Amino acid sequence: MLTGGLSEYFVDNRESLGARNGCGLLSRIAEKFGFSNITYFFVSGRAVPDSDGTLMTTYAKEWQHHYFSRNYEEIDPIVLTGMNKFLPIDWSKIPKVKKNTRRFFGEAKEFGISDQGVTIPVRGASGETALVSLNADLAPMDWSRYLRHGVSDFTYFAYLLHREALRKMAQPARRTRTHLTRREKEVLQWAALGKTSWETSRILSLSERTVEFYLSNALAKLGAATKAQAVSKAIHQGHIIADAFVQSAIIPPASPR
Amino acid sequence: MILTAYEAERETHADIFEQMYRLRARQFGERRGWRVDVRDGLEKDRFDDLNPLYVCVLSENRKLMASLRLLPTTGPHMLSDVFSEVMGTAGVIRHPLILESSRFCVDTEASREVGPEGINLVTRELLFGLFSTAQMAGIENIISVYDVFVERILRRAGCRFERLGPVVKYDDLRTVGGLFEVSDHVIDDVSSARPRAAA
Repeated sequence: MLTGGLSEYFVDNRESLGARNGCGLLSRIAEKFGFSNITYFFVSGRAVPDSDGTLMTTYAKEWQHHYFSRNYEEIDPIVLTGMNKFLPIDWSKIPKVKKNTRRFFGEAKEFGISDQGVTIPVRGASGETALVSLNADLAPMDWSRYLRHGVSDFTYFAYLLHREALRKMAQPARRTRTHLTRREKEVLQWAALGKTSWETSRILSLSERTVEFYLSNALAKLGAATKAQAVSKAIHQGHIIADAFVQSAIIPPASPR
Repeated sequence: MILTAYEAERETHADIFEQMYRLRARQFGERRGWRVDVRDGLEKDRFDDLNPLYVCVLSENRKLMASLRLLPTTGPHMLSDVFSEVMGTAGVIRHPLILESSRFCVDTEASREVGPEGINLVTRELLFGLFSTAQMAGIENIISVYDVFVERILRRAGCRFERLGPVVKYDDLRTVGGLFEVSDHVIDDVSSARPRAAA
């Protein structure tokens, strides 16, 4: 089981997240990172009309049928709790006082669904909400350790998955160019040239923390999880120029003898 | 004692929320002279309708001593919608691991107890609530707009932060946007003078 790297893996493979068959990628991710199931559910908002992609899940068909034929989305404690929150919700902390809640988790268990999981609400810029749920067949202690170590990565993954889902839902072919500020382009350009954050901070007379802050904003805007992914996207979108071009502009290639 | 509650949980915490809107009206409307909307002695704005998370410090008899409001930067928030000038070259922040804190207030009449560095103990308690809530959720930074004069207090209380943009004047108030670190170091420093009994 890998810890960390979920977001990075998703960015490298996101092209295979089809609106209709998105579950293939989610299943691969689940297997690779030790989850039993991954679900993306667009709950509310104006950003997207009814379309494919508002639900992507790796849950077995039987459970999905059972769930929707009984309108469980109306009583699902995870949906009800998640809709109104924005920090990750550890399923073990959901109060199991109400009869409906207990019945729901009980039935899910009969379908072999582990109750060790987390739901990450994602709030978008238009005020829309999506829920990303991850669960694992782990003992409670192991699950809580996995969650504690992975929570930032899982949250970032949820954000990236929502971005990608929105993009697929809106217009499959459209590629939008991200707007980057001058500073964001500068720090990416120096990263593309192999400078560390510390070196960039000296060059631009900024603190290292500020450089890292600009980098992490640029990553989030570009939908990247690592510096390398961000640099590649920024070059692709024409925000910065590739290392090789800069090198050849500064140092002309040696003439053949 | 620290309470964290979403606006959606208002039924359970109606008494606390009312005290909070009242404290905000006194602190921001009367004392600091901000241009805020006060009705029936309660200060609320449209960001309270976006279901924020409130962090509150309560006394043993459920009296509200201090509070603040958190919103995710991926959704609508004050720095993107109202105060974008203070962000300077940083631009609008939309990051899943950065939260925005606003409406930071302490009932200074009710909480006079002062700890090391001359910082009010309730202020420290609220900062501890903020950073530990963020840390548990895997959040890496907090951004916030504040009056320049509180910088010194925040620094002495153990916060690590830096300005993100220029000082901007709103109604004679010198305002600035800051980026705050969420880390074990900060939580240690902020909590070093917390009242143990109240933890």
